[in-house]
Amino acid sequence: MVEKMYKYRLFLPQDSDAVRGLVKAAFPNFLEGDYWDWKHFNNPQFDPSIVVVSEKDGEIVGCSHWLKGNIKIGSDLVVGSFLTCDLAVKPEQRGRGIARELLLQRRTRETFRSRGIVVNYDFADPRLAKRLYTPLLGYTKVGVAVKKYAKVLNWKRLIDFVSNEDAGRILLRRFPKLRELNLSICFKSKSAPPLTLRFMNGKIEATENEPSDVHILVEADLRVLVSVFEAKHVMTQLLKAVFQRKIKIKGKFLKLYEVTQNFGLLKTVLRVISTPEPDFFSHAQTPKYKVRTFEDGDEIEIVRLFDKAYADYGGFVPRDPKYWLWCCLQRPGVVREGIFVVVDENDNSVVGYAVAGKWGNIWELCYDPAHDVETVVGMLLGETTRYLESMEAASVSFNAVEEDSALLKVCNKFGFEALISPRMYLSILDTRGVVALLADGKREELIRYFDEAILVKLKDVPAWVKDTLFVRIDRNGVYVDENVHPYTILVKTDFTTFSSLLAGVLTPSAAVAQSKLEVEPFRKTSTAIKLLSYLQFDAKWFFPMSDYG
Amino acid sequence: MTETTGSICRAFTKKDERPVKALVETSFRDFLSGKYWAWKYKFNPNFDPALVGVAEKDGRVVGCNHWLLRNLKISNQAEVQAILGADIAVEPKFRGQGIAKSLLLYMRSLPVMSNRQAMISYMFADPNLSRNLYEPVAGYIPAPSATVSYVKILKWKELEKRIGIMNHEIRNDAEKFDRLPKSELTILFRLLNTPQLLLSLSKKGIEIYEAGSKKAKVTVTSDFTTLARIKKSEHRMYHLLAALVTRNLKIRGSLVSLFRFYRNLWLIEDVFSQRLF
Repeated sequence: MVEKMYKYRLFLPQDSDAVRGLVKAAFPNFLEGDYWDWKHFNNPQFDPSIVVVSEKDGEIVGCSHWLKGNIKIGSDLVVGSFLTCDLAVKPEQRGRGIARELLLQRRTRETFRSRGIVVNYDFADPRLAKRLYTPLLGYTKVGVAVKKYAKVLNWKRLIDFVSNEDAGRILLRRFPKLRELNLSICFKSKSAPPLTLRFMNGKIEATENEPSDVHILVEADLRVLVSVFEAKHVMTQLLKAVFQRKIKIKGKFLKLYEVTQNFGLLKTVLRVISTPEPDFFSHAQTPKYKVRTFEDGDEIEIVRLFDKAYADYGGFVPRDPKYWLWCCLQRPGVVREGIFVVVDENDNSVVGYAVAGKWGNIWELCYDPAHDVETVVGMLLGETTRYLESMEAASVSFNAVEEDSALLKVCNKFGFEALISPRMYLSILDTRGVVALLADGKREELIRYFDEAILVKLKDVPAWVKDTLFVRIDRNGVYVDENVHPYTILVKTDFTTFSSLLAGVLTPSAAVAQSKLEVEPFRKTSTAIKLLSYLQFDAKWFFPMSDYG
Repeated sequence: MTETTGSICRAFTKKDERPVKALVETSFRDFLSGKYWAWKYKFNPNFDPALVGVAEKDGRVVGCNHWLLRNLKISNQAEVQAILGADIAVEPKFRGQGIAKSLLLYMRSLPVMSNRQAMISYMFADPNLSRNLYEPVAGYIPAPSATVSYVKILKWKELEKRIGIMNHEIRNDAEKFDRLPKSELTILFRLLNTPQLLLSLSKKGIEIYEAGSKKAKVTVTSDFTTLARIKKSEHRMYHLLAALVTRNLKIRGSLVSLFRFYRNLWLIEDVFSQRLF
């Protein structure tokens, strides 16, 4: 039985509240997020058949809108257009390809043709355009004759930011050098009132004046200043701007040196000018962590945390509280005194947990990466090791995600060694089902790039697998069958190779190079390789020890 | 029901519970002391007795294989029903008769297969067993993995057990006894992040001492990963030399002691050959 985690469908009127909320939360900086009704629902051009939503367990987790209109693209040429806008995905569901799927859902020839659409355009963050829109949808940058003019009337946002006690506390935690810093800098710009920042006694003060006693005076255009502090290599960018005389800096050498030593702090403060850090205040209250043993009811938050941490990985076995209680608490060798839970005392939320069995296994160790990994994991490893030592265990071991460098750092600190984990093996029982599922996930790309009928002939197949597999891709869709039909490409391989290809442990080109896969006619080899590379598992696999049994 | 080599593979029934439990307990002593059958199957919210097969010979249960049906994510946005193949066990004296193979094939004749309820079967297995049995018989391949195991040794408990067995073997094997060093050779192992280990090799056999209680003639300094790499390698000597050259392994002592260490390397290899934790 196939279950898709996310469902994609057209917008329905009953989705209004959820979509409105989603857009408001995703775009708080534009009209304070309160614009969905005006822009879409009450818009005379609003067409629900070009608004797509993504649903998980009945909850709306993403949305994408198109607004139909006309746009002039040549001196005498006006064409039908779609403006892509308000593409939003819930923060906890991001990074799972939902935006990608949302963008592709209605992107068909019929949609465009039936509505007379010739052009699709979008206003996007260049980084997002580079990462998502261009590779996925082929967007190109438009030559513009638009210039944006801006003038800063006051520094209220920045003054509010530095005078906020929580922000001050967080800055102090992030930049401990702030305690000893005694520095004042005045920024002068044509398009803004003067701004003076004073760093003294661990505090920051911002004022809109130009005192005579400042240590450093910086004169520059606001645009130049922002671009310097936004740059990846601040120092290089700053030197470049100084040499080009775009920035003038006056002050004593020692104080200038102090500035270079505190670029991180300055960068964080000045970033408020261009973009307020949306995540900055999410940890406004400094977390106070406390470790305790398991209490009844923790399983609900524990399951939520586990799902959040591992749902993106292949090999993920979804849990519910009942299953988790059986899998961990009722497991032989596990008692509630061996289950450690780290909570953030500000809101009592569970931010990490570890389940230790008396023989030395940590069956599950999981943490919320949004928190201080070193502290949370440190607490968990410290407590479990102490507990297992008291249980006379000979060793402590647990499984973790290979690429988790933050965890690796803590493990090194606690004297853990990384070893190769026990091997997991898989066997494909329903080749047609797996191929159909993979093809369904890549349907749009397959239809866009291929118009082929491929027959796979398998050697050395086990009794429960049919030795032929047929995949036809054309503009009508993807069809997968186990019977033989007329084909344009014939692929000959053995069952183990084909399983390895599907599982993503072998690339089609490597299979061809190793003579494990033959393509007829030979000239279609590169097409077959390209096509097969779409039909592979694309998630990395992780399994905690609790999934062994 | 399938029949091979005088044994019959059939569906599990309630009366098989005791022998199957005992079979799993004796076969998998290293995992939760083998005492987990009731928890893992009987009390498992997803347990389906129809997904357990047993092999019977002369009216006696001699083998078993368990399947657990689960949801499993296999690719981005794709979750399928999958089978976790677990606890395939054959009584030691009936091994090598093709019973495990019959069981694997019997499980693949269950209705869950013909109904196409599951798309994938997966398991955690010893690589050698997988190569020799699971891959040729049931088409298993290594799964893509991004999993790493972190380990910290707290005590040399397993090693103590191993040394106990080795001493017993040496006492009953004149040839091995003769190869033991005539005078005592003490070796201190300083493996990063593990308790120090002091081994004494003499005609008394192998003994473990608390570090510092005796002066070591040879000191071996390394880390657990290097040791595991040497241990797993088919060309141990090559990897040992490579570790020495790359300074991942350091062996210190007088020339005579180092020579004696080399002469007794077979014994040290044997000590570390089994599981260490």
